[in-house]
Amino acid sequence: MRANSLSTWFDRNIRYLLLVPLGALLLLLLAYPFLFDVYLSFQESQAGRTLGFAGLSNYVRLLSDARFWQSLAFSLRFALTVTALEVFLGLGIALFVDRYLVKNQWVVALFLMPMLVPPVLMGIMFQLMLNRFVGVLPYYLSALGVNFSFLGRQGVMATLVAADVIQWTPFAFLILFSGLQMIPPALREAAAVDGARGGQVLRLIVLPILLPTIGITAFLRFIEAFRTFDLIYALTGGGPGNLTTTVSIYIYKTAFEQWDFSGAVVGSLVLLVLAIVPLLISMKVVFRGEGGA
Amino acid sequence: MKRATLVYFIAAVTAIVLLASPVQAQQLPTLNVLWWPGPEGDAMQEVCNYWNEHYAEAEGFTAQVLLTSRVGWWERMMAALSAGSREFDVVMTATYELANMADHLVPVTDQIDTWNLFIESSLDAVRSGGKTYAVPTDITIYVPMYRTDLIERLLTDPEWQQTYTEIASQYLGKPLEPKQPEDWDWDDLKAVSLFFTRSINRDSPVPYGIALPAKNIIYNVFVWNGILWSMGGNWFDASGNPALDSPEALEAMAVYTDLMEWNASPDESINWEYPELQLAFGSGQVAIILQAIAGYGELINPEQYPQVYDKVGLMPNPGNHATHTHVLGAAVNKHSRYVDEGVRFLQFLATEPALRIYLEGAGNPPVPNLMEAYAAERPHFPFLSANAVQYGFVEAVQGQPAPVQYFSAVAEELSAGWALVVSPEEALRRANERLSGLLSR
Repeated sequence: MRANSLSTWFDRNIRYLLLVPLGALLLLLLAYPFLFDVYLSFQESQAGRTLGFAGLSNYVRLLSDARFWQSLAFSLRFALTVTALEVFLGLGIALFVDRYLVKNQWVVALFLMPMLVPPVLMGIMFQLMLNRFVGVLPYYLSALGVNFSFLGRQGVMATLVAADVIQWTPFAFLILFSGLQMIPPALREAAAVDGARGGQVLRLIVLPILLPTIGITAFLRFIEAFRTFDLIYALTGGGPGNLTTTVSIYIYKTAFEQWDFSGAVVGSLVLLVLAIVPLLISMKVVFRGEGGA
Repeated sequence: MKRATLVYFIAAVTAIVLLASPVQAQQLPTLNVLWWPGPEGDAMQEVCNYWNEHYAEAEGFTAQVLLTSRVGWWERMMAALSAGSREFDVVMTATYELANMADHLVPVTDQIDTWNLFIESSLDAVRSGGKTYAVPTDITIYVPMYRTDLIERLLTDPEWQQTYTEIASQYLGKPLEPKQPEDWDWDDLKAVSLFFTRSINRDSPVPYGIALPAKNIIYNVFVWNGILWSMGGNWFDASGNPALDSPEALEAMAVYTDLMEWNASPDESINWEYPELQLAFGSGQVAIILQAIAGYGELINPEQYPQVYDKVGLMPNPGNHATHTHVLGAAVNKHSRYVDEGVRFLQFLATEPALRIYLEGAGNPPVPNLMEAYAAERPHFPFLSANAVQYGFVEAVQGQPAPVQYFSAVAEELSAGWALVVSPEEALRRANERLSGLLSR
């Protein structure tokens, strides 16, 4: 009888038991550093040493630092711009490939190539390609009589956005193209039989079904773009001044140039709290979309 | 058959283990020297090889170089030191990292008696709180480099000279005449930069007079700091209070902001540093760059820069010629198991034979005797040595070389001024404020 009840308990809870090893590992890898970060945020630290309890002073210092808010504003502006462009372009390319090139898989592979380049390498490549004196792009532009300073005062923001869009539009394309492939052809065929034209099929059938995928794509790109570091750091170092400093660059410089680990940790924690808001919104959009589908 | 093969295999493995064991037992301890890759790493490897060949047995330990990527090197090393790592015994340090590292290093002031070999400013760069923590192994200074062919013609062509004077009158309000580079003040440098800017002088053989290193990065502050000091300025006044709001600082800022406003330096130089300056000068597109002297060694290489290799001139900073000194050095990790061995290795490293090996392995040891002796192989060495000896300075904060925190803060604020994003006065005010904040921590 007792063995029977044990067996029943085991059967009922085996799913949780199987999660224990992974859960313990995650706890070790995530919970410990997180708790240590919280501890460090209340400590005064310098050059890797903790100097004692600091109360809320690290939080006050960060929240009253105009440079932190500037970096946050820049990250937000940058992330919104590139996300909008990448999702729009990614969707356009996905629709084009889905319609005209779906059988040519090498085209899909070709579109994905920029995504495979490490961002820091992308930054260095852009530095060389856009260099006024040895860069390939200024060379051809000047042959056409166009003289544009890609990393000068007027052009730097557009250049950073373009570099990110070139690198990450393939990511948006990949997810959206996969989403398009999941739509049963019968739906479109039925709509066509009913007399719907291409634009109507897109607006009334394809886009509503694709909406959760678009939401997920936008969310993933927004999060990634918001915490961009390497591409911008390689191209501008966050400058001039802190004109192109993202939150990640701000945190990095606080930690490894100011050697203020407590300040950097506070920046990360504030960022975590701020990230929860778009996360909740996007999850709501995604799940509502799924329900509707 | 199979069984016999297995027996032979086991016998062979046993024999190898037995033969290897005594060797293992006799192996000397190894001193790990943490360095970064590139010429410095190659040079240190040569020193370790020499040590292992000639001294290891008598001294009772061998030395080996551990190399980790230059990208993020300081971050990784500082994290390891802070964690009390014993994975390395001797570690590379730098002028701007010494103050942060000093707590984890062993002072070697009294253990080494060959300090007189070294350039004094290079020793200032590795001292903290009156103690010396490292043997300087590489030195860099920051000076203008110019196109000799262009300046020679400017000094001899009456038509060019007349245009030069007109341009100087128009932009600087002074009818300047061309001078030999070593006699320039900063206005002369500005005038030459203007003269060789095609948008100002359409007959200029190059599109831009100068390329300024104006990116938000600490190394660019090293360059600008030379300008400040050469005008008699400093980050701090005699009482140790921040003094970046001084007239000298404003004048030093004006060297950048004037040239930027006049488009004498390319607009994108607001995001340029060492490599971009090398490309600009090396491709024959600018007349002057303000550069780390290491750049000269590359620019005179005909394979690397065929357009300019025989037209590169070096000059001291205009003004009083002060030049920022940046040094790499070898120090002993306090947490190491082999502190004594580390100190003995540094004693060896601080000798002329060891530093000669380091130099031959592509290092730049701040030892005037050696630098003079290698003038044929490294033509810039005598200039580097003489300028570092006479005009080299180390920016100090409270008795130690200014740490990276200070340079990073100053770079961030001043780069906004260099790029004309904020006014020079505002950039200096903010930089001063950041220095005050750092001092108060």
